[in-house]
Amino acid sequence: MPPRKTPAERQRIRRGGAPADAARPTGLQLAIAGIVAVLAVVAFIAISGGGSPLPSSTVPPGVRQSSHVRGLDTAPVTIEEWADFQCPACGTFARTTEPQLVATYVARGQVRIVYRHLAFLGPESQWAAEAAECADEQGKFWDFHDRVFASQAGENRGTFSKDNLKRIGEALGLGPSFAACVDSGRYAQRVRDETKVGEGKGVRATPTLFVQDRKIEGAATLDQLKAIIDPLVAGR
Amino acid sequence: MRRAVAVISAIGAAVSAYLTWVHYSGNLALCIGVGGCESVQGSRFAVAGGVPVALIGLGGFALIFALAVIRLRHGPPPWADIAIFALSIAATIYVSYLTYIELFVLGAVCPWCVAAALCSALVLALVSIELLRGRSTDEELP
Repeated sequence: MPPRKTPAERQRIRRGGAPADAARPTGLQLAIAGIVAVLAVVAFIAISGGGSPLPSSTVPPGVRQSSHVRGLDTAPVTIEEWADFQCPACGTFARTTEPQLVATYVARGQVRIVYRHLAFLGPESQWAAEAAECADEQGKFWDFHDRVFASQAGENRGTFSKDNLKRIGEALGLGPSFAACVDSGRYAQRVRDETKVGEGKGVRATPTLFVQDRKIEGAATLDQLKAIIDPLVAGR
Repeated sequence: MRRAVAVISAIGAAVSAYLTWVHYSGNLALCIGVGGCESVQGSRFAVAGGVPVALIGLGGFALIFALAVIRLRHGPPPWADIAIFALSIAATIYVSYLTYIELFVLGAVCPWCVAAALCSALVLALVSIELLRGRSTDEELP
């Protein structure tokens, strides 16, 4: 029975006779590589800001926004969007597809978007929807809408507490009446009623879009919507 | 042990590929009132520096897998050991950060993200044990 080889001998044989130390990284090399890796990840997290940036505005100048409607009343295609301010998929839609939709169709007067509340994910959904109505009193529904969707960070964890919603309003330049409105709960019933209307229409998930009569569930991409919108626009 | 690293990194790449597909397809981009993946995948933390986090994971695991395959050959170059060690450290730190975001910022956990995090931690553990103990070839030689 041949004598058992030491680890160093086995290593040398495995590497075709080359000296084992030359074929393996040294402890110093591994330490340097580890430090570089740690620094690179920390720098990446710091530079990327820990997430996608908060958009300042998603609407090009000249696009008409009134109350819950983005776009012209004469637009041939209407998209009714049922959404919850806490819903991450609605956030994805608001931050990605909606700005593209606005630039591509709404700005040309071909589409108008109507926002509807389906506040079903908890109390902070309800409060955020009520606060959006308060912002609407001062003509800033859509500014508030954009800012709230850009600020999502978990559901029912205090992100959209009434105090935080008031801070968002303050950052948008909404006056003291906004804070009073948020505290008053004066739009609570309206939001609840609209949510019931949505549920009555068969909306079970958010975002749900109705492009004219066609129902689409989920954060549709621009390409998915184009396939529906283009024939409708061409048919007019 | 090197084969195990290759297999685990391939699993990590597959999980990341699935999450990347979910991101770009818009599937699961729907709120039905429950579910951790919709919260995590739909959050603003799902994109870093303009690139979906899932795609970053796919790139990282693909690189680790490529290095793991190189290290399966006889007499692999030392740089492959150094690179896989550095990459697995970077991957583990980054997924740890993302797991922290899931638990303490979003309050939601996506099982697929947890699977990717476990893969990176396992790869780091195996590579570290192998390199630091220098026993990578023991299993194959008498």
